[in-house]
Amino acid sequence: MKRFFNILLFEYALSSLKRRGGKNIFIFFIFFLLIFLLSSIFFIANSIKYELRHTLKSLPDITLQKLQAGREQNIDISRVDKIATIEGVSEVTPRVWGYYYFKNAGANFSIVGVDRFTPSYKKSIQKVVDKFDSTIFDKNDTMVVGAGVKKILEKNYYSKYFNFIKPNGDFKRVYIAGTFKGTTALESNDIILLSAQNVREIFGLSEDKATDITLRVPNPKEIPTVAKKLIEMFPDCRAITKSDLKISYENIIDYKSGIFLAIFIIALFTFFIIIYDKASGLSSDEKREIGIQKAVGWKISDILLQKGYEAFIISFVSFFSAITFAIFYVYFLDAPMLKSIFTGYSILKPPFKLPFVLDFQTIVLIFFATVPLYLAATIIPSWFAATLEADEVIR
Amino acid sequence: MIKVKNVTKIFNEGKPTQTLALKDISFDILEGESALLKGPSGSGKSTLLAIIAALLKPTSGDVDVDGQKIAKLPDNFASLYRRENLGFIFQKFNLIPTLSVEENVILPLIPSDLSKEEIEEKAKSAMSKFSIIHKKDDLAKNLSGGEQQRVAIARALVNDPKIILADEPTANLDSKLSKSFLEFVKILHDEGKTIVIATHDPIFFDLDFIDKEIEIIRGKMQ
Repeated sequence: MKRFFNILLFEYALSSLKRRGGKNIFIFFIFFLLIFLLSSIFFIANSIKYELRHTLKSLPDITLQKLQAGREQNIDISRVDKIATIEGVSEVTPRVWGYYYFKNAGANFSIVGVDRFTPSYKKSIQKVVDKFDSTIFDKNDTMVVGAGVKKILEKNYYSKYFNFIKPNGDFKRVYIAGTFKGTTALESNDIILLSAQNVREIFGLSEDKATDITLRVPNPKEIPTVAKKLIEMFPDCRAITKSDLKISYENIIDYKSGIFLAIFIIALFTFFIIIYDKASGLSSDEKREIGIQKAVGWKISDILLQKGYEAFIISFVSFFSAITFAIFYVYFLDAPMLKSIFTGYSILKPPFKLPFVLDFQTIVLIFFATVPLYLAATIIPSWFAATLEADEVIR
Repeated sequence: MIKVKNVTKIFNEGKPTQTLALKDISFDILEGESALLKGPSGSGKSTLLAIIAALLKPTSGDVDVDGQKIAKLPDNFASLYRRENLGFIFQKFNLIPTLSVEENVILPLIPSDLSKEEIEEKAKSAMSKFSIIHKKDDLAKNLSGGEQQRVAIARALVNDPKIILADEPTANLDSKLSKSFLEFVKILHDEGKTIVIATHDPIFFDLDFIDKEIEIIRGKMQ
């Protein structure tokens, strides 16, 4: 143990860092910034990916939407029976839903109509429906809201009920019968569940119409065929498959990660400048110190151990403080500035907090991409200086 | 006992700047003896001292210290040899200016197996012996020439070496401080240390505690 850890050598390394404080603080700052940026980006991306993964999981296999002049229209419920005859389709659900803009809070809520006799297309919503007394969704004036929605409403003095404004300008008072926490933060902050009848009233939707129709197709290989059949059957409609949605979600993320790739490259570039500066040689003072150490009996391994301690202290302290700071920044402060670049489009929606998804693989990856590089950049030039004849260095 | 046998040192061998620093030098210094390597500046005294300290390898020839051949010692063994046997007082003191007096003095002991308490005790004793303990927390760069030399001597002696090598030890001192250095040398001689001093300062010539004088001129023994 003594061979690898010598307390006096460690203290000497600490004093050496202190003696070259200005330079070392600069290196620490750059190293910290690089790891902080990198880890924050990865943490945000991981959290958003987690949200998306769960959202995608709960999406219907196919969504049928009616179009007119390229815009979505409400669809006739009568089409459900015809769709059910298509082979391979196990479930057909007409959906009644829409966005409700709550001006006072500047937030958009997703109003979803549920019917206790028709299973929901979304498992997470079905779970919520099952959790509550089914009569809630039968009543004309009750609703269940996501925990985040409840907070927004309370902030605006709607702690017991909310007055929806109908298309004709009349108010519809609906009481909050319960709150739920969704699988994802987006769900909790966005969704209001009401009976389908209530949703129709709020949006002014007639009984024979639905917002869209969702289909469950158990065999994923059959999805494209069923989608094709749907278009043939209803030429005025479009069939959006789960994989279409997945691609469009991924495109959004890819675009965002492009921006971060640029930031990352800049940070990495700065880091390599430091590495280059270190690797290109030690200062004459540092070389002379190594010469003196050798002259008074230090072995090359002693010198390298001391330099290793120095690099270890700088890189580990920067690494762990940057990771800790990034966790705090992303998960406690909710990544101000950085998050909005990732989730820019959802600003109109109620704000959602990034879920805590700590991926140790990412942390290990960042560690191995930075710390060993810095250790090598410190030790290699020291090794060059330590293998010179001491007399040559100190004369 | 130090045995120098046919030592030759050529710098930049085979290059246009090739310089013959030492040619065929041989002498013996017995244990407990004080020897003077004298000669004008540039005669090769410091080079010879560096070879005895295993800081430099000779081009040919050998150096034998207490039966150990040190001329071709691998780097790590050379460092160990210096740590266990030698105290070196450099012409320009070679202190680390940004370290305190105490930190400079303990420098040779840091990689040793001694405990922190033992090291501090040894440093305290060396600093007391050379009257520099009152400055133990001062940075080396803030000391006067005489104080710096006392720190350099304390550092050279902190590991209680058998052999002390001094390269032009009075070159940066005034006559008063040079005389006090002589006192230190006499004390060390009386303690039975083997001392080799490379100098061209006449203050050392014909002193009663100097047992041997070796003159080198242009790299050759006279």
